[in-house]
Amino acid sequence: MNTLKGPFKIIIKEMNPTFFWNVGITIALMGLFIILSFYTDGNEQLGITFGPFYVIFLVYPFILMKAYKCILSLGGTRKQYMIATFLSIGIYLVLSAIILNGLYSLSPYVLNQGYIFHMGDLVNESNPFLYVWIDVLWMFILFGIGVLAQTVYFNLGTVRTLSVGAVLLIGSLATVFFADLGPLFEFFITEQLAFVHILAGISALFVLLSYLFMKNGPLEKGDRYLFSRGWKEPKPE
Amino acid sequence: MIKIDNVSFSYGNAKALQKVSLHENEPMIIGLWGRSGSGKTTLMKLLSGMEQPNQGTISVNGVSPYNNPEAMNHVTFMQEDHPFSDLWDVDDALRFGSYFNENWDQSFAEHLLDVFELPRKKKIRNFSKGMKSMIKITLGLASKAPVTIMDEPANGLDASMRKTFYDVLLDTYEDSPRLIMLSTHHIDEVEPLCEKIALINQHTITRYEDTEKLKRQGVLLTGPAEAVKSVIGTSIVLEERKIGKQLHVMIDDDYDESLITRTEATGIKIEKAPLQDYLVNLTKKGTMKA
Repeated sequence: MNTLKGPFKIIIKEMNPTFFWNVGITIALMGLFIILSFYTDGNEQLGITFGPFYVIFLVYPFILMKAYKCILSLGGTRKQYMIATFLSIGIYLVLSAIILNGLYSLSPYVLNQGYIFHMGDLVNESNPFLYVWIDVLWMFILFGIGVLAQTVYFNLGTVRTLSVGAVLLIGSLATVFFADLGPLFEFFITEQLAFVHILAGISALFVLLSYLFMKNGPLEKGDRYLFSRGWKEPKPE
Repeated sequence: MIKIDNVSFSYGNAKALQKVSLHENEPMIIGLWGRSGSGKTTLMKLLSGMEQPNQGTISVNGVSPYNNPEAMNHVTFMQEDHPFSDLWDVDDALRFGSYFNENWDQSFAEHLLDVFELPRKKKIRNFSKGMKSMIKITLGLASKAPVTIMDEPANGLDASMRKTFYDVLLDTYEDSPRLIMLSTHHIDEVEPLCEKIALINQHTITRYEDTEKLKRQGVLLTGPAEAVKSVIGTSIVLEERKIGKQLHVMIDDDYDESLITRTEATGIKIEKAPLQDYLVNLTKKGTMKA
């Protein structure tokens, strides 16, 4: 028996409800836009359908922490948890992109007027596979951010994570106020495709970092001892 | 089956285990007794591969358990506060249990569900403490893992279910002998089941002995102070209480014929100390150094 089967099935079990909820919400959104398309004037943007799926990939790493404890408790390893998570996320990422783009492809036929915005619209390419790819990349980017945030939070705990967050916030604010971000915004607008790929690359780095942290992760939140993991002789009593 | 050599472990700067060693090559039921905070749970986590020792080595059925996917087929650990997903019902728990254990015995698991009268479709998050213990027992015993570890398995069970648990434990052990380790605060409950008892105190295993041998130890003496003191001799006094001219002591000695004969001649009352009381006194701070 493949030792990854158990961890993989547990992760899938944890992911299923939120995934199906999101499918339902996205279809409901689509229904709403169909209704709105009868009341809109001209070719207006009606809204987006990718919101629920994008958000859920950001929060999946937090949802899956329950599975972490269940897997370890049944005899699985941290590495198995991470690999099973990445495999499951990969599958649901492709499924989500197919559902999103399926609905997007249907929209010209079911909407009376107006259109639904797709992140691929920013790329100025009409290849439908590129649209699927753009969705995959954005969901992966958000997952990468979520998994790193979750890893830091789980390893360092609330107080230390907030401290790291405060430092990052100060750094970000200083960058916004004192650095010239004009070229970056220009790059974002003019080279959307390259920009998204760079973000996805950074996200891949986040995923790798998370794996390296979590493969020897603590059992409980905040139990990572960065500077005192080694054994110390007890103080004489 | 299990081989723990000089293992130490700490949570940050807080020591949890210190230079622990224990070897057991035979299938048997072992009791693990210790006071709260003595390191029992940490030891079980190390044995099951949930934590990695800071020092020393652990081998369970020939494999090093930490971060080793093969270890899931050799060791099962049911924690006192075992985590179950909010989404799981009993069938889910059994299904996942079967994925993690190559020796999984589904028919035995089904039998245990019937014995414990567990509802299959009810979410485990809605179970009472006793029912959670029953599903843990079911998972632990049906895993048929060569090394099965259970932390306070009878917690929350009523008297009838406790008896049922002990019965099924002995039955399955007889059918498939394996090493089963039961941790407890109340040794009297598991002592009739255990062939050996490991005593963990002040973060290390201080005794690992046959239950019968351990049960013989600990003697209560009551009588005139001078007479009692003469019997104590060089024995370690674990507990001492003076009531008027009477002295009541517990000594760390074998309750055997020679001591009984010697004591009765002096008119002192001699009794076997209850095992639980003996262990409690034995693990009082400072006692072990005597």
